[in-house]
Amino acid sequence: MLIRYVLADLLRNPRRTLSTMVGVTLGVGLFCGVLFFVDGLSASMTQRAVAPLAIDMQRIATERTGGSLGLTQSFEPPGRLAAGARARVVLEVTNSGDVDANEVTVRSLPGPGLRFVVGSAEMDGEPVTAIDDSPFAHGPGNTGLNLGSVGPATSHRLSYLVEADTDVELTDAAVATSQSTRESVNPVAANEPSSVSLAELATLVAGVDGVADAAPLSLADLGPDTLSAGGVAAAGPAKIFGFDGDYARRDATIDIVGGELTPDGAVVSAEAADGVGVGVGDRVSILLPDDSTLELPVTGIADLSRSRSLFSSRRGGDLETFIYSRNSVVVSPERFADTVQPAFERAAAARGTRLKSPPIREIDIALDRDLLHADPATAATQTTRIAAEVSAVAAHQDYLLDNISNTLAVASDDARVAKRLFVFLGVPGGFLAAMLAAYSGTVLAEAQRREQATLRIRGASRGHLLRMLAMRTALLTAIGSVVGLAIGYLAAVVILGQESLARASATSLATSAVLGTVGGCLATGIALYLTGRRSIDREINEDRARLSVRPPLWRRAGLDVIGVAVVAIGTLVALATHAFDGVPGSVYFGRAVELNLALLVLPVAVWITGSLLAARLIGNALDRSQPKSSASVGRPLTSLFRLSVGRRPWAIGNGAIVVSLIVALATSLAAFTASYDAAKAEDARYANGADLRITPSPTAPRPYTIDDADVFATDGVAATTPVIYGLSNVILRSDRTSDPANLAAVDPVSYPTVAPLREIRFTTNGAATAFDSLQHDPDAILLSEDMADFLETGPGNTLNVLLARATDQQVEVELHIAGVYQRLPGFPDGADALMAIDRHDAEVPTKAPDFFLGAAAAPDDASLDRAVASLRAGPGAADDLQIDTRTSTLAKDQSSLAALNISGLVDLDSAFSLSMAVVTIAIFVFGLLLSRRREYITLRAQGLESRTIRLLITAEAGTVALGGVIFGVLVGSAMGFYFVKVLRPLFVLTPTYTLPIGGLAAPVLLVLAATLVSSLAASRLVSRLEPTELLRDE
Amino acid sequence: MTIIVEDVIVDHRTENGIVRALECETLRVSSATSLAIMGPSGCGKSTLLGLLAGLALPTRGRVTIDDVVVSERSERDRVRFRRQALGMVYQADNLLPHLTVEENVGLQLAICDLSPIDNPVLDPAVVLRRLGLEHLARRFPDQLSGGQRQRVAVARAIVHRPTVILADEPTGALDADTAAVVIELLVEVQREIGATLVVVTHDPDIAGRVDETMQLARPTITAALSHAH
Repeated sequence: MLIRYVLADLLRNPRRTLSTMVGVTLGVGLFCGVLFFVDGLSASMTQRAVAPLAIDMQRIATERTGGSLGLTQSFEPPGRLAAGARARVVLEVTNSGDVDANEVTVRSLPGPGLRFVVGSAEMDGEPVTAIDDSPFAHGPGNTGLNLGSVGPATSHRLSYLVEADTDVELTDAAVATSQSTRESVNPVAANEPSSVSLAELATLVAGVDGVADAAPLSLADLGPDTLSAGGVAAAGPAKIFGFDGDYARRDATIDIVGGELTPDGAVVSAEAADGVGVGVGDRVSILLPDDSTLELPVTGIADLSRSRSLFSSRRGGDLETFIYSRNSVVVSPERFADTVQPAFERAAAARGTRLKSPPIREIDIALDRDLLHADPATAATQTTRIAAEVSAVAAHQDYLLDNISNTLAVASDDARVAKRLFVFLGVPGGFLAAMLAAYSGTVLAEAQRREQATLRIRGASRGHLLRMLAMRTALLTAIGSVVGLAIGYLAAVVILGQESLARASATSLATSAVLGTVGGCLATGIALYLTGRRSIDREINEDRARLSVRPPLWRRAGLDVIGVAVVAIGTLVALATHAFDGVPGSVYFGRAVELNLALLVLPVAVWITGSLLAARLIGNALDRSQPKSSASVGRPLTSLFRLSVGRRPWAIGNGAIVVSLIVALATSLAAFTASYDAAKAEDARYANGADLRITPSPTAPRPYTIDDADVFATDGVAATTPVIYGLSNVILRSDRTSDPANLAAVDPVSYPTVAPLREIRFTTNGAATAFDSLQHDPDAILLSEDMADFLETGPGNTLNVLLARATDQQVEVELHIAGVYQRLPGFPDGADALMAIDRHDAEVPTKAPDFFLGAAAAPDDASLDRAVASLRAGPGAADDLQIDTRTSTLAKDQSSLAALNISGLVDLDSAFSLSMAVVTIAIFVFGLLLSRRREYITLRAQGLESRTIRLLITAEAGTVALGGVIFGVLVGSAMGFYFVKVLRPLFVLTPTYTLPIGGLAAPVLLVLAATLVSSLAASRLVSRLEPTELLRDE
Repeated sequence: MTIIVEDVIVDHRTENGIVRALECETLRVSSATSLAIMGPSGCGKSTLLGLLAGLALPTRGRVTIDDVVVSERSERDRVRFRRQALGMVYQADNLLPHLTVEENVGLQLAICDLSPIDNPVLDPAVVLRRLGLEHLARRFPDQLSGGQRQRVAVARAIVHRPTVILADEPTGALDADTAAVVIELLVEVQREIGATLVVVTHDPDIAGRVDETMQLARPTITAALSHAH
């Protein structure tokens, strides 16, 4: 019976039902939307995280430059050794290579249950007597026996006796024996299988499940003047690579612009070809470390300047550094193995010391990324398994650099942070939804008050009414939740795209659906039920007492004051403990973003407290503005308005709280997004050096000089500047010491206008003064803090700089230090010193700029795109230009920042917030209408124009909207400021707080427009009300 | 003002079809006289009063007040008519809850754009004193008894000295003594200002205090009209 009544009530009052349900729908929609968003995002994090990775895994062959040394171990007699019995351990060391193995050390340590028999050690049949204990594990460090050099095709037989304390099975595990050499310091256990060749290893690794491709690569550094042709040597050091055509085809950044890679020829880098004046068909000479010369025909010219797989650093902890060598030559893997590698081995053997830079031989492994799980944590488990299997193939002869697992490990940490962050950012929306539900519940209760009174008169008990309320709430929340679930899914699809969500697992989506629906349902349902219950419990006779100007509960409890205290104390504690300072995440450093989520309480506290304070101010101001009672009323509209808002200030105040909360959330999200985007763009711009970085291709037909910056000043490019820069391109010498360094030479006038400089990056005098010195003093040089510390020098001191180091143009100049900086934009590898480009050009006139930096005409992305298009159409049409922009740099960002897609979440939150703002205003206006329709009808009957009534409704709703909007923007600005402070670790540079005034226009106008439209709609309803019936009803 | 109702019919559309709410062949109330409309529940008394006030329009027929066919005027004209010529009292007091007694009364003058400065008889204080409410002038409606509130409603209805006073069960929610006081006041004031008074009531005592009484019958056709129109 009750359920039928409730159903009929809901169906026959569709407007009321819908307005109540919309709060539930939006709440559940937001909860589900955020969760689906997180699912979709997590599902794309793996792909995003690994996309910039050049090489998934690298099997680096250990240094075997000393030759192929083998060690076998056997026991005489073999098998089980009884307690008290003795056996001889026989070790055979053999050099099967063709060069000496030096400092060959054999270490053998009997395990538990076995003891070395003193005096039993022999070498090639002779006792080893010089050492009292075991010569194979001597002293506290268990030092092995140094055999000295072992020549090619030479072997040594070593042996010693062991005695068993207990029964022991004689296996390799019972006696740990290994060998190492000067050339290969990593100990190799006895009886290890003989090492396989690089090609064999690649084939074996390629067969591992999950590996898409494995290709061998060898590379080695050659000294200066080692690459020549016809007696002309390429200036500077050279690099030699060994890889085949398949490897080149797999890596799109290896661009063979002429000819091809053949087994017997060499491909030369474009710069080297220019330097020595060769083309395809000519011959080049490569001077190898053992002073032998490799002469090869040039079969191809290549642009290798963008190849990250070839030039990324192989040093641990420095893997992101791109160390380019202009003078590069590529030979076939066979040629490298047959000729280059032995030359290095011979050099190592002949010089008697370890080579500073031995050749690196590796297998570059690409995984089948399509098989990787969308969730980075799961994908990391997969890649770790693959890494283990790859390592198990021909183990112990090399080590594995597992780049992809490292990246995914960081990404999975970031994903966890992102989920927490997203849920946090979604929580205010959820809170709003509950408030909205409570607010609409209040209006519903208001509308049903009369019906409930009638039911009571007819005998309905409180229990009946509560059961009906529970049924009504359950029905509204159930239907609202289903609709909200669909809306949430659609919202996530709109923002992320169907493809992203399709990648998420069904379990994950189902879990989100259940969590979102149940969570949203509970939050809004409870809010709805509690407001209805309070209404039922209120005595009917209290209706008129509602006129009382008694402040609401939160005001009487002083919640706003408590909130102020929380914010103040929290801020002070955070400042005192430097909690706002964060460490940015970095994939390269294996460090995920770390957010102090406890701090996130602060923006929420600012949000709620600010809105309550706003309501207090509005309520108090209206209360004070109410006119004293007078029979002389004045103009009806203004008088009625002043009397209404003055005598019912908290109705306005409470409405303003909801609007303020919504507008504040939208404002803070807009401010956060603007600050985030600006900071990210600034980070990327800083990394790129400017909006644009134009690097002419080494194969470009036109040589560029420092006076050619204007060539790139095309439409949309405001300014350009040339830059000379290189790794270890100078030697800096102070009075105390010297060191190779990376020098940048820039134009001190145009560089500061193009590059993003911040005063804080200069520790002495500031950027303006420093560049002024460079401009006016040709002997001035700026030094990085680190380099100044290393050289033990500082401003005012002289510094000798060997320019164009290791080239035939090298020249030493004496400069003096004019300033010290922390770091400069545009040099990810670090610029140790900075000098004026004119002075550099005067000293080394043949040195061309390495790249040009450019500033776009306007800071927006469209201007940047226009600038790139004009560059491509202009100078880019004639020459192959590499154009990096701040956006392309941002896209390459491998850190978690790129994967977070905060903008998407903010869009989701904002869309729901704005929907809620519109609904709130509508509910307020129609709530006003419901509760005051008798007043309006009475006024109509008294002869008040409909227009005046419409204006009255609009004025009241407008007061709520305007008050809410004004305070919402203020509160949101403060909330956004706290958001940016708390989320500081998401940025590399300290973000500048940005409040997008223009961007706020949309939500503000939307709220005001919703007010106007709702008021007009409500006025029309007033006109359509049946006055005769309403006026006679008691 | 003379009130004339001719061949008026009011039909309401409902989910179940059209329901006739009122059927009044003729009604005439002379200027400055008073009329009580009586009749069974559902005969359309309040509907008729709504037509007289211009708050609703008949489905058919004419309502003329002082040569002006109210039922054919625009909403704007009818609002102006109510403002200038009409005072209304209802069973519910319908006072604005956030206005004090004097403000509720004064508001009617403000709506009519009248000022006691120009015409002292329009002074709300005078009216309140006349109705014995001067000591309650600064109270809010919820601080008054039912009878007091209804007297304030009467004060509001007459303060601008309307030519027509319409009262719909003005004493329906009051006890007999209070009802007597209120109706006495209403009639006295009506005579005092020379207005035409139409009172809808079930109470024969009230009917006995006015000049004329009219019995309104239930409409002859009700639900049978469905879909016929």
